[in-house]
Amino acid sequence: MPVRVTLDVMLARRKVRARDVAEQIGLSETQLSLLRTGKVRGMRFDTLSKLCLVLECAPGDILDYDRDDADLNAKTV
Amino acid sequence: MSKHAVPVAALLTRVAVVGLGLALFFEQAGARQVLHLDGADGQVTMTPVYWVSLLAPAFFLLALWAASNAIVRMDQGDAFGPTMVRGLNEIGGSLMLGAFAATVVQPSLTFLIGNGFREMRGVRFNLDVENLTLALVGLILILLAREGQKLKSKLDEFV
Repeated sequence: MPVRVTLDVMLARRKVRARDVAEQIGLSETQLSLLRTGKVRGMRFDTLSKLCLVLECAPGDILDYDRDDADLNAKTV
Repeated sequence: MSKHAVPVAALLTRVAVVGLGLALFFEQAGARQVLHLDGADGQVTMTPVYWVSLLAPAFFLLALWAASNAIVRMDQGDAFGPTMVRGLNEIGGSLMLGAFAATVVQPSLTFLIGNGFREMRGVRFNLDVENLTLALVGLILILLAREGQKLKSKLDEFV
């Protein structure tokens, strides 16, 4: 998927542990791990805003996009 | 009311099921006495018909009972979780079985009992609109439960 989760980078920058962040935003460690490895279909806005609040960053610091022209033809669920 | 208490709607449904079940039993039992079906000649042939006539309503009451369980699960916030889907399948399945019993099983068995199991020429049908509608509603419930389960699993992939 061209949208990449760059949460690991932000966690390293802020020098916080994933476990602590997961606890603060009310996610399980497993869910956060799935999110970090990009093994989820999507992220809810409330999860995104909680992450931004805890890590003091903007959504663009957590997510990145690799351009792919095929995205226009992707099937919408 | 605490979160795990039985909701009023579910409680009323269960009371209605018990009431309807008792009413059905006494209504049928009363009909047997009025018609003297347990007499010397009638006992052999008509008593099984009495039990067969209870088959479809019993399934419909089972569906109502399953509906009360589904209301409880809904109240607990189990939206299309495994137990909710199983509950919806139970309701749909009971409705379909009840409709099948009323449409095919009851007429065929009543005919068979009536002639003492001596002859059976094909399957007897009772194509009432009510029963066919109930069967279709049951089928739609099962299909809706499947779709809901699919949507729920997709939603669970979002964190």
